[in-house]
Amino acid sequence: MTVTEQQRFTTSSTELVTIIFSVATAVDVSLWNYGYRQTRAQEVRNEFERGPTGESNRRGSGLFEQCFRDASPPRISAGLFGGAVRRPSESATSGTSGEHRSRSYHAEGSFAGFGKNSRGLRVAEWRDHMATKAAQDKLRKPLIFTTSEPRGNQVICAQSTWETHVLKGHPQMHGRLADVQKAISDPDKIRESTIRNDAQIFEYVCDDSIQIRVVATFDDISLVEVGKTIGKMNSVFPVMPEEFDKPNVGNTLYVRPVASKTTGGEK
Amino acid sequence: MTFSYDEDDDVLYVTFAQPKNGVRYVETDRGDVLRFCESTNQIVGVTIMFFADRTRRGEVIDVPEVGIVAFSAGMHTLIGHGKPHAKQA
Repeated sequence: MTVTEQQRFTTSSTELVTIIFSVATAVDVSLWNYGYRQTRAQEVRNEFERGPTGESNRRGSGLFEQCFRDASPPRISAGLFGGAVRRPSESATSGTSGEHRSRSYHAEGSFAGFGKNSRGLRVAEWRDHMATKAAQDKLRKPLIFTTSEPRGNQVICAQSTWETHVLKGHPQMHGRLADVQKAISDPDKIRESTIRNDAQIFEYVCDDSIQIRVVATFDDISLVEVGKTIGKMNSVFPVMPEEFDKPNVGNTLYVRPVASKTTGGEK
Repeated sequence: MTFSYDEDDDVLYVTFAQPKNGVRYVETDRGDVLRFCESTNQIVGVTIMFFADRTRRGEVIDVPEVGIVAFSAGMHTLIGHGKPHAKQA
């Protein structure tokens, strides 16, 4: 074997070893990443299913199932040769923060890639979005209803709030649970609260002309307009707007379109 | 007089008496809710929103001035100010 042949043989062997190493690394990383996602997702599912009520858990399970549906099987096609497994931040947006990487993943609809910030990103997104500690605490309480307000935010009412406090403190609300739900899901107006930044007032005129006001607080008031936070009913009471001139309401945030009001309800 | 504090929602319900007849609700300019007995024109309760949060901030919780225009002068005396507001157009 000549020197040239020896050099060629050495070069080929080096390339072959590099290729084998790249393939092994890509497969291993992808499988490890996939396994991690499944394990973490199961942890989140178990954690969420510990909630006591059906309504909130069904909603959470739906989000969770969406996480599963979107999770693609391990993808090893990218960067098999040359050891260049594509990182998420390189594949889509030019953002460098974890949030941008996360959003680029969301746009891709894929879990391909690896690295600290890319593991189980949909679960992480969901956890950041829905499962703040406060929201989790709320979701673990027995709820008397969960409804969606016009901007898309879920608003919950704890059973203890309604039965232990509202009905005892404001007995005129007896039999008006359906009206309260409608006040949230289809209010006449939504106004800012003048007391707290994270509170909003839902105004609704019932079928018997009684106006009720629902006070609700939101986990993240900055996400209310895009419908990506969760609210909680604090209290509700009937009002007589014609009898006071300084109502506790701030700017109007929402007005129901004309002639779109639904009728009916528990009386 | 009974107190019912909703710790989760930070709302304090104070009931002075159980009215025999209808109750009217008046929201004050500080966001609290006064409950009046329609027949006796007396306050039968007050609901204080975000009670702990406001007390932590040092806010004095009292029965504030409200913009009632339809109640009697005696009612205005009851809630702590003498003259009713002029009704806005």
